[in-house]
Parts: sequence; C-alpha cells; structure tokens
Amino acid sequence: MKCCLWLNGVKVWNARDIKNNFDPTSLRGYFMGGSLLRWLEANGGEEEAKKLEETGNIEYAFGMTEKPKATPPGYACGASEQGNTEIPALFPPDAGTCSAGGKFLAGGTAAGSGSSLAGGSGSASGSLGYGLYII
Amino acid sequence: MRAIHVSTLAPRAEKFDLYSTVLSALTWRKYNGEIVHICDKQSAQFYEEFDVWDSVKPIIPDDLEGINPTMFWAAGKLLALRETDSPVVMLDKDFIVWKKLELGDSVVAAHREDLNPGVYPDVSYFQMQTGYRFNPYFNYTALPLNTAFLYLPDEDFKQFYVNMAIEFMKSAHDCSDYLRYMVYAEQRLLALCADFLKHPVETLLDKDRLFEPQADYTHLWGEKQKMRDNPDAEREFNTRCRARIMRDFPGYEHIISIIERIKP
Repeated sequence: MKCCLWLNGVKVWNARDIKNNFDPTSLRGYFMGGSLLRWLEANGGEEEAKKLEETGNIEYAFGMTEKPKATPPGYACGASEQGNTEIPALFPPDAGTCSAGGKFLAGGTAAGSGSSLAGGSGSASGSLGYGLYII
Repeated sequence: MRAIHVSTLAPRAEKFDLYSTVLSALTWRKYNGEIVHICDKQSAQFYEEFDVWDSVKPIIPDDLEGINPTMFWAAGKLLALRETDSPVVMLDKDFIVWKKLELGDSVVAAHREDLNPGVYPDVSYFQMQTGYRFNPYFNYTALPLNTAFLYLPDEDFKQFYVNMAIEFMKSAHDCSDYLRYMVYAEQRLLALCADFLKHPVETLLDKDRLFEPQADYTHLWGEKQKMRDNPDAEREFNTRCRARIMRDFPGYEHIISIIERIKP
C-alpha cells in the first residue's frame, strides 16, 4: 500500500514509527476498515500484522501490553473498556432514536423523501433534484 | 480524470435510473475521461450488456464484509474507494457532469449539507459496539459533505476517511435506521476527517443555491421518488434521456433497446 497512516495527526510511513505515535483510535479504524494488515505487511510490520491477526488486539500487537488471555466478545481491538468516548451533546435529543436493544423508535423524520437516499441526502429541500432541465 | 460508478446488491430495474446511469457514464467519458464500474457479482451480471464504462471490476464482496446492507445501503461505495487509487472521482449514477472539470489538490464534493439534527443527530444517538470510540479530537460542528460527486486527490487522506467510515459501519449495532447511520459514515465522517487533517475542501455547488439555474450538473436525487409516484413524469424523463443519447451518443443507441426490454 503506497500511503501513510495518519496517527495523532502525524503522517507515519513505517511500522517502526507507530509506537512513537501510538493512536489506538485511528489504528482501530485502519484495522476494522480493512487496510491495516495490508499496510503493515507492505511497510515493515510483518510481525505486528501477525500478532494483530492472531489476537485482534491493537495494544498487544504494538507492544503496549502483554498478550491478552482471551478477547471478550465485542472487544476486538483492545480499545478502552468504557467504549464510546463522552462527547458533549451538540444538539437537543433527536425525536427518533435507537434503543439499546437495537429497536428503532420512530419519531424523527428525515428531511427529503426516501428517494433522496440514492444520492446522499440531508438537505431540507432534499425532495428535489437539480439541473434536470438540462437533459 | 478517472471516475468510478459503484453498484452493489441486485439493482432495481427502474428505467429512469438506468437512463441516468448511461448518461452519467457517457457524459463523464465525453468531458472528463475514463470511468470504471466497480460492483459486486450480481450487479456485474445485471449490467452485462451495458457497454458504457471503460471497464468493469466486480471486486466488491457479496457480503459487504459483514456490513449490514439495509442500514448501510451505500457501503459498497466506501469499499470500492478503499480499493481504488487516488486521484479518483466517485460519481453517483444519478449525477451527471456536463462540462470538463479542473480538479486540483482539494477534496471536492457536490455540496455541503446543513447539520439538520433530524438527519445528522449528535453522536450520542448512535448505538455502537464496545470498543468503538468517537474521535474526541474531531470538530463535530463541521458541515457534512454530499458525496453524489466526490473527488479524492490524495491517497493518504482517502485511506484515513474510508477506513474510519468502514470501521463505523462494522461497529454499529443493527437497527432499522437506514438514514442517519449511513449519512454519518459517508457524508459526515468525510467532513470530520478533512477538518481534522486540515485537508482543503471545495464543493461544486453552494448548498444555499442548489436550485438556482445552472447548466453544469444534474442530480436526480428526490426526483426519483416523484417519478416512481408519477408515471407521466417518468415517461417524460425517459423520453428526454432517449433523445439525449441519440443526439449526443449515436454509437450507443443500442442501449435504449436494452433498457426498454428490461422488465421491472
């Protein structure tokens, strides 16, 4: 893979530099996103790739912790046990929400019609197309 | 400039969609260069007779690497981008570019979106698996970017964005919200990543002037639903597309008969 990893806002070009810029949030992203193993194999991190493939544990693969005994379900990448980081709410609670059980509770409606999904939606005026008269 | 169209899952056989796809591909080739169709096997089979792309690459896995296809109906676009070298333009099949574009070092998206909380809720809304972490250094007020058109000039940035988006999709709990999770992964994370890495961003259109007269871009967008609801509107649109194909792309008139014999 001919690219760098962005870790802690710094470009990292070689596996040996990962430890000095250790950024578990971004590393988990690259791992779950499917590129980290390939990148490591192409950039001097064969050993780390092997450990990561074996355990799925980011901290262990880069020598930040001892080898884990077992990986608890849903705890694939050695990330913080607390899970999601607390981030201050930017908006009032939305009318529609996913409950913890995964059931969607209706209430909030998306702006624009269902068809706007096809092109990426979000605008309040999303029920319209634009530039159609050109055809 | 090389562009990609992406198709996953069994495509709907809607004529207006197929005409739009054909015009999007042929018009890109006319003004801007190569376009590749990246798809899964089902889509490759469906579009087998459509010779409107320079090449077809059926490289998207049918199982979308385990991503929920209902919640993340555009996941294939992110998987396709991961496997395509930058610089690259990803073009929705209902987006048509009617002129030659000058693209440089900035990421270019179709337009910004307002942070409407009904569509782009606070991140506390999302139910994620243990281990997923919303990046605490992102500026969550960055306005999302509509990716009906997306130019990614830089491989380093592209890999960061698509990996963070794929991670989000793989880490979300299954639920029946098929809008907010998808647009967070595709549109909002793009803006968040660009802002975080200080990557310059431009847009083709100003979000507050989308519906002013212009002759450079067509985006069907919500018109699709209108055509589903109104057969006369669809007939009129299809007629105009056929005329456009015959006038501008006479070597591709055979596509019309292919589309017309496809049964919905």
